[in-house]
Amino acid sequence: MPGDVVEIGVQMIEQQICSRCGWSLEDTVDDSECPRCLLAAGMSDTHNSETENIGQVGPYRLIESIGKGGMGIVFKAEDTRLGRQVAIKFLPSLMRDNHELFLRFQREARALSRTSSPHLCIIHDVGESERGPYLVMEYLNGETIKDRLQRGVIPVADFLDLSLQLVQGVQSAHAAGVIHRDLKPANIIVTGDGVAKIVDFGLVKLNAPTAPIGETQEYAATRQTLATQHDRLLGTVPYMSPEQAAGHEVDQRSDLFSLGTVFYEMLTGTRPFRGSTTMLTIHAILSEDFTPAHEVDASIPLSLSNMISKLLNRDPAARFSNADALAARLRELGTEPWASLSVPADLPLTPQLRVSRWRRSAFVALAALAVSAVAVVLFMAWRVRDNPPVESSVAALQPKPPKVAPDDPAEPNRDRYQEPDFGEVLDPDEVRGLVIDPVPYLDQLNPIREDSVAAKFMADLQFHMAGSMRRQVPVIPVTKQEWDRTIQATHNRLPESSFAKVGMNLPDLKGNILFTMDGQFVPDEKRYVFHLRLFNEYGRQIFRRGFAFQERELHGQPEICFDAIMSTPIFQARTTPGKPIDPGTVQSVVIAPIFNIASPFTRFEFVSDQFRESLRQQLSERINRDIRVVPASLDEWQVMVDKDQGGIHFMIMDYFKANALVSVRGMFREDTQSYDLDLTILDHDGLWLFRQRFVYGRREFEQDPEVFRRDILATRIFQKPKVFQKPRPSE
Amino acid sequence: MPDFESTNWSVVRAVGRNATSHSRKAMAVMCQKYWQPLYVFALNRVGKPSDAEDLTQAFFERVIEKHYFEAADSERGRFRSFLLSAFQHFLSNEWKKDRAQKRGGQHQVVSMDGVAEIGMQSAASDQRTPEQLYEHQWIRSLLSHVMQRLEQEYLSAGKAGQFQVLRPLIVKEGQATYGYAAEQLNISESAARMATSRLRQRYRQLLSDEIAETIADQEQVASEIQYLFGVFDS
Repeated sequence: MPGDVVEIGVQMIEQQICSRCGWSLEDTVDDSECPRCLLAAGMSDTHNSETENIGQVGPYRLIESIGKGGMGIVFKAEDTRLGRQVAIKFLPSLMRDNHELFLRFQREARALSRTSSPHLCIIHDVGESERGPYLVMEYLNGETIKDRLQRGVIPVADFLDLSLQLVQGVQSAHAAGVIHRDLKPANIIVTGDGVAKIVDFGLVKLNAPTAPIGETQEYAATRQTLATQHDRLLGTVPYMSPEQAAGHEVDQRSDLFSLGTVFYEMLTGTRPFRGSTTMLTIHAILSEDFTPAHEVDASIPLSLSNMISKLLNRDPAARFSNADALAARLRELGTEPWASLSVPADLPLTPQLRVSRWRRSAFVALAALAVSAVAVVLFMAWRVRDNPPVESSVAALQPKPPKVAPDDPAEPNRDRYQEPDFGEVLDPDEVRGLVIDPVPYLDQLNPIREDSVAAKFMADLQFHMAGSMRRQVPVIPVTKQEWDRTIQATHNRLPESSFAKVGMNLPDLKGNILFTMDGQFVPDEKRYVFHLRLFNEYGRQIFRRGFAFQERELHGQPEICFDAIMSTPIFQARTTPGKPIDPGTVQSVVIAPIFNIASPFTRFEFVSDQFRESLRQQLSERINRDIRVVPASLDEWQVMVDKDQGGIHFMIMDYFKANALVSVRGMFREDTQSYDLDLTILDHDGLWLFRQRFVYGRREFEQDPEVFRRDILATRIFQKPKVFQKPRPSE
Repeated sequence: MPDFESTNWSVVRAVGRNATSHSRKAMAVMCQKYWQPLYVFALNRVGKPSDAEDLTQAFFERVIEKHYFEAADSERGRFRSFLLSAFQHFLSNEWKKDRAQKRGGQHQVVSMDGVAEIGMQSAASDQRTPEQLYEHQWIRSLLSHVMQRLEQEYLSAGKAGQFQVLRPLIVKEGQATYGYAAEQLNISESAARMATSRLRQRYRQLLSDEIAETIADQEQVASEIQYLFGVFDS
C-alpha cells in the first residue's frame, strides 16, 4: 500500500510525529532526525529489530516490521527458497526457556498445517534463531475484525458468511485436537477476498510461566495466574469462557464460548461481559447475566441472538456440543427469510434500541460490585485449590436486566474515561509506612521569614511531612446529591468564559480525606482532562487518577464524572471488610508524577520499624489535638502582587492564626482575563484542612477586591464552630 | 575531541581528586554536553526558565570548581543516573539556601500553584515526568553529539557533501531514496548503497563509543542502548 504510506507520512510530518515510529519529533522537523529511529539505527544487528537492516533468519529475508503484540514482533519476510511472502513472528524471550511448551506448540502447529483449512492461518515453519524462537506463517493482507469493528457493526448478512467461515476454521482445528484458547476479534483477519482467517491457534499458552507444566491441575493454576495477572498482556479476559477465567482446564467448548463473545461483538459492537477492571470483567463472566444481542439491537433476528446466547451459556454442556453442531445451526439460520435481506454495509455503531439508561445509583451498584470482586478472588482461590466441577446452575438463556449498560458512545462507560498514563493507582494497602522527602515542595511553599512564628510552623511541617506515618484512611465517597451540589456550585462560580480553561476544581473534605478534582479543557481535542486526587489527613496524596471526557458528553451529562470517580479502586477498596491496617508492613510503591508539575509526592523512601515507632510516639499527641481556625480578622493579610513573573501576576497571601495556616495563592490569567485564587488552610501538622478555588472576572475583582475576603469568610470552614474537630486516629 | 579521550567517569575522578586545568577543561566540555538534559529537568521542577538556568549553571559551577564529585565512584554504574541523582541532591540541598540568600528571605516566591498552572498549560501536550524528560533530552544530546562527531569526520575527509545527502539514510531505506542520493552525488545506486552502509557503520561505532563513556563496565554498551531505546516506549 505505497500510496497510503505516503499519505500517512505527510500527515504525520504536519503533526511533527515521526512517520516511521510515531514518536513526537518535538523541535526536530525532519523525521530523519527522529531520536528513536536514530537510536534504533545505532543498535547492532542483534538488537536491531525495527529498522531497515533487519537481515535474514534461516532462509527468510526479513522485509519490514508489520506488527507488535503481546506475543511478539511480526515481520513481513520472503522465503528465499520459494520466493513467497511470509509473516514471521518472533516470540519474546519469556518463552524461550519453556522448551516443553514450545515442543508441544510445534506438534500442534504441524497438526494444524495438515488440516489445510482455508480459515486457519497456516504455520509453515517453526524455528529458533539468535532472536529466539520464531513462527513462519502465511502472510495475510487484510483487516482484523477488531479493526473492522472500528468502522461499525457487521451487517447480519455479512455476519452469517464470516461466522460460518470462522466456525469451519475452528471445526478443522478442533478435529486436529488443537484448542485456540484466545479467540478474539484481533485474532481474526478478513482478507481482501473476504476470506476469514483465524491466527495464533494454540499460541497463547506459550505465554504461560516457565514452571513445569504437565498436570492439568498445574496448568489450570497457571492459567488462573495468567488470567488474573497477565491478562492485559494477553488481552483475552473479556473473551474468556467462565471455566477459563476460573482457572479450570478447558476443552473445545471453551473456544465456542469465546466465539460467542466475538459473534456478539461483531453484531452489536459491544462485548457481552464488561467491567471497569479485570476483576470486574471476570466477575461479570462468572456471575453476571448479559443483555441478549437482540435487545441491544432490535434489528438482530431473535433466532440469531438465541444462537449466540446458547454459545454464551456458563455451563459448557449447555452450549453446542461441538463446532460441527454450531456450523449446522449457522447453515440453518442462513435459510431463514431474514438472512437474504440485504443490509447496507458499514452501518455506524449506533444501536437503535438502548437497553437501559445509565444507572443513577452508580455508587450502590459499584460498591456491590467491589464486594463481589473481592469475593471472586476468594472464590477463585478456593476453586483452584479444590478444583471443583464447573458450576452449571445458571441458565444464560433467560434474559435478565443487565448489570452494566452497553458500550454505546452515548452511554457512559467508565473504562473509557480513565487515562492510565496520568499516573499510577496508589493502593492504600500498599503504601503504608512510606516517607515523603518534602524538600522541593517546601522550598516553594515557604515564603516566611525564619524568625517568625510561621517559620516554626513550617519547620514543624517539614518535620512532620518527613516523619509522619501512613495510617488507614477511610474513604468516604460523596453522595450523588452532594456531588450535584458541588458541581453546580462550581459551575455557578466560574465565569462562563473561563469554564473552558479552568475546568473544575472540586475540593472537599470528606471524613478525613481531601477530595479534589481539577483539570482543564483541551481545545484541540475537544475534551476535558481531569485529575482526581485524594489526600489523607496528613495532606499526603493517597490516590490519583486521570480522566478524559469528550466535551459533548460532559456537557450533556456532567454526572459521568461521578460515575467514573466512583469506579476507581480506592472507592472500592474501602469495602474490604474488617481489615485493620498494620503499619509495620511496609511495601514499596512507585508513583509516577502526574503531568509535569513539580510534585511533592514523587519521592519516597523506606523507614525502619524503630524509626517509625519513635515517630509514632512523638506524633501521637499532636494527632489527637484539635485544630482552631480563627478568622477574627483577615486584615493582617499581606497582599503581594508580583508583576514580574513572566507576564503573570502572582498573588501570595499567608496568614498564620491560632494554629492554622491560612494561605492564598493565585494569579491573574491573561488567557481568561480572570483572577484565579486558591485558598488553602493547613493545620499545625501540615494537614490540609480545607481548600477552595475562587475565580473572578478581571473587572469584578478589580472593582471590588473585597469580594474575595468576603467569600473566604463565607466558606464552610469559617462557618464552623471555633474548633474544627480532627478525626481520631484509627489505630 | 582530540585531547579528550577519557571517559566521563575518569574525568569525574580526575576533577574529584586533584583538579588540573586540563581536567577542569575536560569537565567543562563534559558539562556542556549534559547541560541541556539537566536544564530540562530543572525547568520541569521549578517552572521558570531563568530559575532553571540559574540552577543548572550553579550546579555545573559547583561541579567544576568545588569538587562536587569528589565522592563519585564509577562503581555506581551509569553516568546518566549518577548525574541526575547528583543534580537532584543539589536541588534539594543547595537551591533552598541559595534562594534564601539571594532573595533575602523576602516573600517573592513563585506560588506553588502558579508553578502547577504553568505545568498544566503544557500538560496537554506533554505528560512526561521530569525524569523522563531528562532521559529524553539525554538521548537527544547524545545523538546530537554523535552526529557532530560524524559530520566532523566527513568534513575532515572532504566529504561534507556526501554526508549531507546520505545523512537522512541513516534511518531510512528504500529504492527511491537511494536513487535520489545516487542522483545527487552523481554516483551509481549501488555505490550510494555502499556509502550509506559505511556511514551507518561509522555512526554505530561513534554511538557505541559515546555511550561507552557514560558507563563503568564497557560490556554494558549494548544493554545501555537497549535501555535508552526502551525509554521511548515507557
